[in-house]
Amino acid sequence: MTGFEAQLTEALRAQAEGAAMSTSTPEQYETLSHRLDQVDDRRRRSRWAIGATAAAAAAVVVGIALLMGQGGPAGPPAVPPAASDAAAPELRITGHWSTLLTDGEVTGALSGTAAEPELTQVLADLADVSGPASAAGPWRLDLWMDGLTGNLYLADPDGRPARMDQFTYEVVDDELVTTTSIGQGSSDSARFGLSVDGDRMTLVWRAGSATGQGEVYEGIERALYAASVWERVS
Amino acid sequence: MRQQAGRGEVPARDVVADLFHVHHRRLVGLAALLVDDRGSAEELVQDAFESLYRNWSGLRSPSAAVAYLDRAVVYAARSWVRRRVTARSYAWPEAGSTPSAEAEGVGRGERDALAAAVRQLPRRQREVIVLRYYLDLSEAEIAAWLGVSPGSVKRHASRATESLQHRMEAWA
Repeated sequence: MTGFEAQLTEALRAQAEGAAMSTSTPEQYETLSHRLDQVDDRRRRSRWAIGATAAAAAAVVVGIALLMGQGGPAGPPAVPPAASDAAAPELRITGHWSTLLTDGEVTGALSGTAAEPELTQVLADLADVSGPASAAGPWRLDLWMDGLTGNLYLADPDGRPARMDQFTYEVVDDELVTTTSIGQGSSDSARFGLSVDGDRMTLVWRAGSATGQGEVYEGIERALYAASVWERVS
Repeated sequence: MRQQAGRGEVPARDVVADLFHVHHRRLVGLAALLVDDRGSAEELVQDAFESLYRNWSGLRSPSAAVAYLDRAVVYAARSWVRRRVTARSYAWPEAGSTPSAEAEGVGRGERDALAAAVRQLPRRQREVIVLRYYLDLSEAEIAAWLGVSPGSVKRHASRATESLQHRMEAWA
């Protein structure tokens, strides 16, 4: 370490120490304790609500069975199974999302798993696309998920401020997000969907052959905006 | 300190409380290096501890909690700065937190000037400098934390130190 670097370290430490000494840990802990109480309360309420919902659903099923007999009416249409795609092996298409798909579009998927169990960072690569090579890429971007505040950020692989926008969305109790949350968005010529399942996040997109990278970014933004109920599922 | 206790042996809340009392001041100091405003730094640290509590069951082990908190504070600070940059309503303070008693005396002026110069750096350069010289992270670690390449970290660090040296030469 050079003399200047040592000087820099010393300056930063002095600065940090100044801030640290001016805060009150006991007072701050009181605040934190209150916040943790609220977390506990929300968890209790969520568990109760989920249990009540399950019980209500079971009662409805039993009631229908009693009315219609065992050979009763056909159930709701099955949810389309998760699709696979050679170019995007992690591609997941949900029933909700599949209604947006149209012919003549290229398809890609962005998927990633937590880099670490703490889920402080999720790195994901934009998979190659199927369809005309000139249409869409491959593009690569890094996306990381802030497990703290429910914010999502985009930047290019080199960390340049490709997008300085912030994607802030409501964070709900993790118990309310049981397995999968879906967000979706669209730009003029592209459509996107975001699926989060525990540590795994999948962004599904389809873009017209003339779609530019900027539009894809825009669509991703909208998709992330629409993913309004993401939180890590513990 | 119950930090080493295995999950399930000690309630998460107790461990989080212990961690708070041990690391709170240090984390406020770290946050303050990135956001300047002490009140915001305290809020970010609160957020980090709440997040730790909420995600406790996802931790690899309780011993990973400190690393989680460090990174959580850095990420929350980045989010805070971005919000203000995006809103175009944030003006960096002219002066930072009150220097410590240790910082008083010979060399304080130069240290303060250097700290002020760090605050004037572009966001990414400032993050790299704080992570490198305050948290003592390697370039590879910084790259992993910030989600950028090691080469990018090196460039930012180089530009930042060069800029700081020029400012300090001008200050002298």
